[in-house]
Amino acid sequence: MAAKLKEKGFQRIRPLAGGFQAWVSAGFEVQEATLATDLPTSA
Amino acid sequence: MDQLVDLIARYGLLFVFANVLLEQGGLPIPALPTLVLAGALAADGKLSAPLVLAVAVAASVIADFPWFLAGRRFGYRALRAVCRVSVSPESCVRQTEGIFERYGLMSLALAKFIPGYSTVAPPLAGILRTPTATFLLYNTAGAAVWAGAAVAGGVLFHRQVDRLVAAFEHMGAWGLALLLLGLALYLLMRWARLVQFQRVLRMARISVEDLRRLLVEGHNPLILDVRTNLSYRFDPRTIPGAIRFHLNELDEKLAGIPTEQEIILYCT
Repeated sequence: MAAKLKEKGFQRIRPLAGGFQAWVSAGFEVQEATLATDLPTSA
Repeated sequence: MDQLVDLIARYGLLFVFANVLLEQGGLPIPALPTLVLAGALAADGKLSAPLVLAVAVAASVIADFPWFLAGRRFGYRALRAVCRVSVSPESCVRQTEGIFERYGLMSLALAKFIPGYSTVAPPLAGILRTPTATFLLYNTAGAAVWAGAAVAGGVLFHRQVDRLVAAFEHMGAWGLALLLLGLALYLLMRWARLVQFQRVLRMARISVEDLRRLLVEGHNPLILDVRTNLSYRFDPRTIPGAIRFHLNELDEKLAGIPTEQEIILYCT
């Protein structure tokens, strides 16, 4: 994913270490679900 | 070399069992050549093909089941543990979920044919609360299809395999050295790729503390939530301000955003 964005010319891309789980375990604020937005599944 | 074949013929089942157990347990020791060789030996009457198959399936299920239980007990942490050993945490978790999302339980039956997926599928099935009996059924079926194909290949092409073995026998000690060299090269390649991948990832990533600081200081980075639908439904909260994002929408969502914009990606 990050590689794809790099291809598009974006230079300042960083994946979050540990992902969403790490954010939640650190106890930082989260935004409650607004609209259930599923994404298109086909790649 | 002759002795090696004798050894495999005598301790064949034990050898097959250990090999499959170690490979499915996550070690980079290929089991496929062993299964093909065992199949060829079975065609020559030196081993029993059904027994080889049964032993391979048993070893595979024994290796997978603890990971299934770990997935059920420890959730995504178990998946991360598996991924850390195999390749990269980020890409691994995402890809696995994508496969599971699209093919469901059927993906367990074909898991052994997808490189890297076979080790992550069992903990994922555990995380998603697949009933134990269902997991065992699909996992056993998957192991049988995989080992069956390899053994059948060995039986079918036993003449070619025999000729190859004969060629190695002819080379004597050199043949053995060549085999060991091949295995060493294979291990070295896997290891080099793992080290390289982890280094690239470690350098480029941002910690949760740093991201939080960016937000507090008002830097407004663009945060993209690239979790799969599966894990999003599992926990539909997001990091404040994050945009749900899929590779399909790359162009439309990023239209008009300058390339010097700071972008943070996160997944599960």
